[in-house]
Amino acid sequence: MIPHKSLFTASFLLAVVLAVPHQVRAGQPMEFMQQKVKAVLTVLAEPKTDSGGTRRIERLRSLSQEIFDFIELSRRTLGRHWNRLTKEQRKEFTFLFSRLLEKTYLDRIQEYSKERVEFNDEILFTEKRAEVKTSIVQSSKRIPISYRLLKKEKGWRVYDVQVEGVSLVKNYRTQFASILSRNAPEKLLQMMRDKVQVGIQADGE
Amino acid sequence: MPDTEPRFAAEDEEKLTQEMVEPVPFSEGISAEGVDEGVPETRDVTDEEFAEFEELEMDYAEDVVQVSDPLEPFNRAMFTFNDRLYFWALKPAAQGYNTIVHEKIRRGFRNFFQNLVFPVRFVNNVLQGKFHQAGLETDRFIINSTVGLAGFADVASRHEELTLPPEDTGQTLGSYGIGTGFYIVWPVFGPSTVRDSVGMVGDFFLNPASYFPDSTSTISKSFDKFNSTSLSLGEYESLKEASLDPYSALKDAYIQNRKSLIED
Repeated sequence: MIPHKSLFTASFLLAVVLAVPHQVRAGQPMEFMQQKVKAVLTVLAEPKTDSGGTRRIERLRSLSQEIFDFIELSRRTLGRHWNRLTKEQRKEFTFLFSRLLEKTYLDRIQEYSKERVEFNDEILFTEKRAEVKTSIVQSSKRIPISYRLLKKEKGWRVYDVQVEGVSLVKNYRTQFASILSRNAPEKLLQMMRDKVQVGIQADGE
Repeated sequence: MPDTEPRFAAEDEEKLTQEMVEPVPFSEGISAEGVDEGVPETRDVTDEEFAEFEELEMDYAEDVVQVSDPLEPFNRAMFTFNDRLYFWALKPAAQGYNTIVHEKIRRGFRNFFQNLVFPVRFVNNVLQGKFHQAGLETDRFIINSTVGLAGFADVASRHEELTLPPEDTGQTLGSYGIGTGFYIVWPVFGPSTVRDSVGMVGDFFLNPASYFPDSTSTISKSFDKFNSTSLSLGEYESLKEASLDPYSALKDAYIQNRKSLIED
């Protein structure tokens, strides 16, 4: 058994050592995420006035367009089923899916706005594919959130988000695949229309 | 705040507003140019792009953990039972509790119970050969039990290295290469697998609260669960809201989360 006292000291020394490289390693994808997360938090920090409320949503929406590649997200999520959709259906799917994500994540992110976001690591799989690991630090809890990015003509764009090890794309993929294995794409679109519609009504209190 | 304004060029703002603000008609909602990127048939796909697409597809195809669900009808019934239990009983009770008891106090209770189950984390770190983490858990327990007033204040979490991922018996079994077994939804306890259910038995024996005399054991555990629920209201709702099939969404989230905890 190692004496606790030395472990105690060692752990503090470790903290000092670990604290340094975390800030040094920031490449392009991480800088991109840092900038975007900061922008989102800035919008969220603004007061929620009635007239400002709609503007806030619009600004978050345009930010989400800069952060996410919704078409890529949609393709990944449908996987091979993507090919079964007509071009029009793909357009609609992309739109509805972005609305569905927005509805959920805007709610979630507003709750997180008081917390601190840490940028922990960046992994470059290839020149064009990267992962940025972040965590949201709450009192006594760290929620790991990592972003998967692809480099496009317009720059880096997020195509998947993992919260506590749960990939958004994979989670929806399972659901969509099970629906599409039994139904035509139109049925899935109808379910999504209903879902998004419910959300719009609930938001417009 | 005005300092974010310069990040959007005027034409960007206009274009983005066009894309997202009007819910109908859909064809105008999203520019055709944008969608074309995602439609391989409409233009020639370069080999590089194709390779990238395949690589990503493989990534997901491999990673999707197949956990069988032979008990699906039973599990769906239990899912509905838990859902009702939450919305009809647990949530209203927790909302009432929240108005009476300040969040800081509720956090204190949660910290207390987290500190109490230190043996679960310590033993499972050791069983997984994570001796350094076991040591850090011990430090954390000592700090929180003393300076943190019997665990009510999680003072150790001020030090980044002392906020550790939780370990339990189910993860230990997983780290030994034991498969998940099929999916099970327990009444009250929620999503699990055969392996994690065995793990729950292990955790039971490692939890000091299991050795409290008579009914105090059950009462303290129920209170812990109730108190934790009061601090996470809204999480289940948003998962449900975001999904088209809440049962599958919760199942997949559980399986993915457990997998990531075992791999850490």
